[in-house]
Amino acid sequence: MITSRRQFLVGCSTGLAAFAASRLSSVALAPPGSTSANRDVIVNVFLRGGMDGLSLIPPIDGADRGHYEEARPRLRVPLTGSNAALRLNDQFGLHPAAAPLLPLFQSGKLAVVNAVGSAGSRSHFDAMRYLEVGTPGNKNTSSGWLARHLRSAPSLPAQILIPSVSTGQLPAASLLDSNETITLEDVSTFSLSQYGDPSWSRGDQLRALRRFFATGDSAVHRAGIQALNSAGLIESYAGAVYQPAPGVTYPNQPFGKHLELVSRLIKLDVGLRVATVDVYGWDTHERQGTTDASGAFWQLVQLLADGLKAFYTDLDGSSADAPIGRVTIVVQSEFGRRLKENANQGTDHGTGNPLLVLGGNVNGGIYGTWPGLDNEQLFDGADLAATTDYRQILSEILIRRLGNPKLGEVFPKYAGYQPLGILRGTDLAPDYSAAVPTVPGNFQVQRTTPTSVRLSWTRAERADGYLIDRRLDPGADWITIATLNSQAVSFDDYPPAEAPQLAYLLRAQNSEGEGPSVVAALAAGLTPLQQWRLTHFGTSENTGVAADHHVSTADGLSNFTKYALGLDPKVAASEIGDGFVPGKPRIVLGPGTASMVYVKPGDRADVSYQVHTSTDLIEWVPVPSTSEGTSGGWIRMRANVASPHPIAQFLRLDVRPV
Amino acid sequence: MRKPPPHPPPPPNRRKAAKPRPRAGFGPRPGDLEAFNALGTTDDARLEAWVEQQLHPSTIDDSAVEARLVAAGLTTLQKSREQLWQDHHIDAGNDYTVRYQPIYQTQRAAYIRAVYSRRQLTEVLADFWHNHFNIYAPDYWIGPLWVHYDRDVIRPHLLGNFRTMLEAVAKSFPMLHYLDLFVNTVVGPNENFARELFELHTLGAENYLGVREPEDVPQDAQKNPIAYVDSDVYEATRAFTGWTVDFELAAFRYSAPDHDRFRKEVLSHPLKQDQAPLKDGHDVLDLVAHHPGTARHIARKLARRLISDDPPTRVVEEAAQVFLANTTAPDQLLQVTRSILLSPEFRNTWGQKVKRPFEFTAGILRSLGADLSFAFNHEPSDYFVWLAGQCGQPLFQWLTPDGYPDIAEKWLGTNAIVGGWRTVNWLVNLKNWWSGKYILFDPIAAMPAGVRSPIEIVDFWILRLLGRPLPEAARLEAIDFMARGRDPEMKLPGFSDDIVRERVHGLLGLILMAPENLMR
Repeated sequence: MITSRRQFLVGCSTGLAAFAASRLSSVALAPPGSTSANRDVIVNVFLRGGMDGLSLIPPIDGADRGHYEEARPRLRVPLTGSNAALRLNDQFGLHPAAAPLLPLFQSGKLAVVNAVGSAGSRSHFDAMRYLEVGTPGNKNTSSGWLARHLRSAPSLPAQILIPSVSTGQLPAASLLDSNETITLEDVSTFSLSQYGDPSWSRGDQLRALRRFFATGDSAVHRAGIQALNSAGLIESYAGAVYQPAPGVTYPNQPFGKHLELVSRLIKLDVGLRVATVDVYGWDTHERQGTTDASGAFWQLVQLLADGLKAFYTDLDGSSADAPIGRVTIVVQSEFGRRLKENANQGTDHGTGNPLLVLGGNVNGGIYGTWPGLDNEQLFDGADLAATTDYRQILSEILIRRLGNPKLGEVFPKYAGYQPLGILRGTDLAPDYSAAVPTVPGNFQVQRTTPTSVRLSWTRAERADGYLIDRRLDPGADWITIATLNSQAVSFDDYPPAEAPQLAYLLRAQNSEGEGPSVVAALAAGLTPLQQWRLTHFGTSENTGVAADHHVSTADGLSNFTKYALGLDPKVAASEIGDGFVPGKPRIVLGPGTASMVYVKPGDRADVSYQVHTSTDLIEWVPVPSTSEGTSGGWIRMRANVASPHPIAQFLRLDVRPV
Repeated sequence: MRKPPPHPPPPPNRRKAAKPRPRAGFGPRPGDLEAFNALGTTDDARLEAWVEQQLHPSTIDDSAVEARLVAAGLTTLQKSREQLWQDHHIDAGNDYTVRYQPIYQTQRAAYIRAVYSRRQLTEVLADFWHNHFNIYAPDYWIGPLWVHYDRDVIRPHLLGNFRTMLEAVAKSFPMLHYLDLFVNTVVGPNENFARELFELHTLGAENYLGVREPEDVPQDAQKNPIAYVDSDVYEATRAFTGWTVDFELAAFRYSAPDHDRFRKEVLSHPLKQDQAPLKDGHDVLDLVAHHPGTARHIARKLARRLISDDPPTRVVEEAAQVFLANTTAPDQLLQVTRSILLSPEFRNTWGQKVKRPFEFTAGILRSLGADLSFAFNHEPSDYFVWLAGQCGQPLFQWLTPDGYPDIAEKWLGTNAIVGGWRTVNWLVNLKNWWSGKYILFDPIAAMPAGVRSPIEIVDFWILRLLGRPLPEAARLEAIDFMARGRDPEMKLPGFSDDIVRERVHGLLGLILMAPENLMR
């Protein structure tokens, strides 16, 4: 699936540009009328820094209200007054700045799941990583859960223009390793040029640039093609002004702009299935500002609520097929905050936290098991405990809304899924099977410098990383020498000097385990040509200055020609004389003949030598060469042309690898 | 009569071979290659000479950059910490353009140095350590002092001692404020600083075991715990109580009454009750700065910046050993940096790093030899800095304390790549609207008189801009672009012709957008 979509994006670039130029309102790449394809969109809003869920969804009654008030003398959301909590049910309230969300809750479009958690790290960076790569406790997974959803979803059409967008300047970790994602900050500036089309040469330049990036398959090459395709597409929308639904105004901040961008892409019908949006600034260790309208937390909640409300309304409508019917918004944060406020009117890193689900097919309400705030009920005596695994909620969205039951691929090692009933949709039997990666392709081991060995391969499917073992000789043990990420396609090793029969073992890994391995041994010796490159250039590879075609001095002879003629590539050659000293071939005129004379090493079995002659530089005829004698390992050769043309007779020596 | 064939394929590149060049900089400027080649007779000798030179920046004359900083009008760079506080905090009130002037000027100075300084390694390391001890600069209290943080806290220690640097950072007003250490008291502890001290500044998350009893942490041969747990964070928080700021002087202050005087235990090491003032904190800094986990974390991060995203274990271990063997040496970081730069892994790898936008955008100015003043209200300078920031790395503006990411995946997103290309195209096509003349640089004048055919032009600019050859297939594409159907070996007519000129500018853009220029 991933392969076909990627091929589409790369191979059909002209098609893409054509679609873009015609600005089709609906690019139906799935067969028209096809009903099997799932069209639902998941929008993942991430509150970065650790949102204080006990302030967003505070307890408003019972013993826990008492614990809450005791632990938060200054930060508690009050029950009365102009900044009082809004009532959600008998037990929980909503922060007053989130008032725009209250009608959505009351109309059953917003679900709150309390006390959600992951692997329980109080490190921002670990906790975010666990959530976004989808493997709690294992931060080495190098693909994001949404990237794995895209590549495993059985109900997506094979060809989509823009399946996935990560809004902002850098891609979200949940989309790491996705070749289908566009990272997009702003439509109007997402262009290769600044003033429309400033240069006459731009069309040629773009064509050449595309070919540059088509010459390789590294992560950089693939990213370049993706950038070219997406820029070509997005540029065509840059001029148009987006008009949200009547009465909808997005907050004039990055969060609002990014939501507006997602809404615009959904309405353009370019095939969007996944979007990520971030809100920064929730790490409120000091002066959290929960209870007054100028406070930091208050303002963030207001931004969040205004943005979500605008987004929901923009996609809503009276008709039954309003886009919101296929949109699910998940709002999550890496952890909640400590129950007890600190001395600086702030809160420190905690554990369990509410997660919000909003959308046209949500069964609104409050979900999750509330663990309680009594000291005995707290995690580590300090934090709201986590009682619901966040993967349970996301799995329900995957199955009921996105039509993807492949939980084993999206959330490896996760089991025991039961829907909480947050979403409407069809239940599919969860598929926990997961596969180890495929075997990496074209594994090659080559000595590149006197001290280093280059290993190269092509990417394995489903790889989250690669493991390389080394064995110094067949009797020795395999020892792991490198653990690489999923983007790696090469590795330079510096083996011990004494390693007569060096071999390497490569395999890809993911959280299911290691895929089949492949072994390659370093060839016992180099070919004479590789050895020659190594001697003269310090590398055996046919690239860069050591490339066969490269001309290293001003004599015009390529490296390979100099190899064939036994010359030093770094010294300019002069024409040969009468003896056996190597040099440039020479033309000798005699009475009624023209001959080409050259000197070659006697041991170049890997080179073919052939003299040709021509009178018009267009048609060339081979001429046989004969030996004139040998000396010190050198052979002097001569090719004769009888009765040369009176005006011009050309001779050339072709040298080629055998 | 046979039809003459189309132009024969161009002959291979005849230009002089490019030598391996040091990558610990922002890319080649015109003349750098020649200067580098003159440093020795073998590649290794040249690299070693270059590294030694760069490790002793005071021996490199950089007066031209000093003149540029002055010419750009960056007056805050000269102000003392006290003066910065007076001018940009006390006198500035809520005028944010004045409050943040030191940030904007430090950004411009960083670009001027990256583009024009001959002390390239210094600039690479300044960028590295700023990100290691990252602070979000546009903050009400921190912005006015940004020149101080850059000049007095980070830069003096780039090649110095890690423990000394750690303390300078911990006692700097910006860090005390950013990570809330200034409000950390015995009655109201705040763990923010202590947590990031372990997780980001020293041992790293790779050595964090979460909620666990300290006695359950495995020990190394010296009976020291190999990792830290949450209780170490809390105990260190207690050790740093009383570390605060003087808002009058914008300086570190120790408040003894706010200090927690009782016994603490950090990394299984007891800190006795009633130690001398500041000693608890200093002891914690000693413990973390000298921990083997810190040595590996710093070595790996530096190697990640200089060599590859997953640096080989050998070079990391070697650098970590150098770090540990020199914990009290005044040039500890010089030695660590040297061990990485002289490793075979550094010498022999290329293309393992994707350039971050700061490197990429500074690099295009360097390779073009473009003369951009970076003065304020100079329209191209203002616009360049804005465009470069759009790529995702506006300097000193990463919000969280982990610094800008240093892995390829984050910088291969379409926004960063398209933004970089946009900056290239804007720069190479930048004309004066009235005269129609290109500004910043003149590629025609830069080409020797013998460089006039498409092949010559392409080969000249590939070497000049990238310092290394392009793959042959890409080179042929570029020749095709330049020749537009003409014989690529024939001299192009009419160099005063705007169409030829525009092609040359387009060619520069093309080469600078190549995959080879996204990597280093």
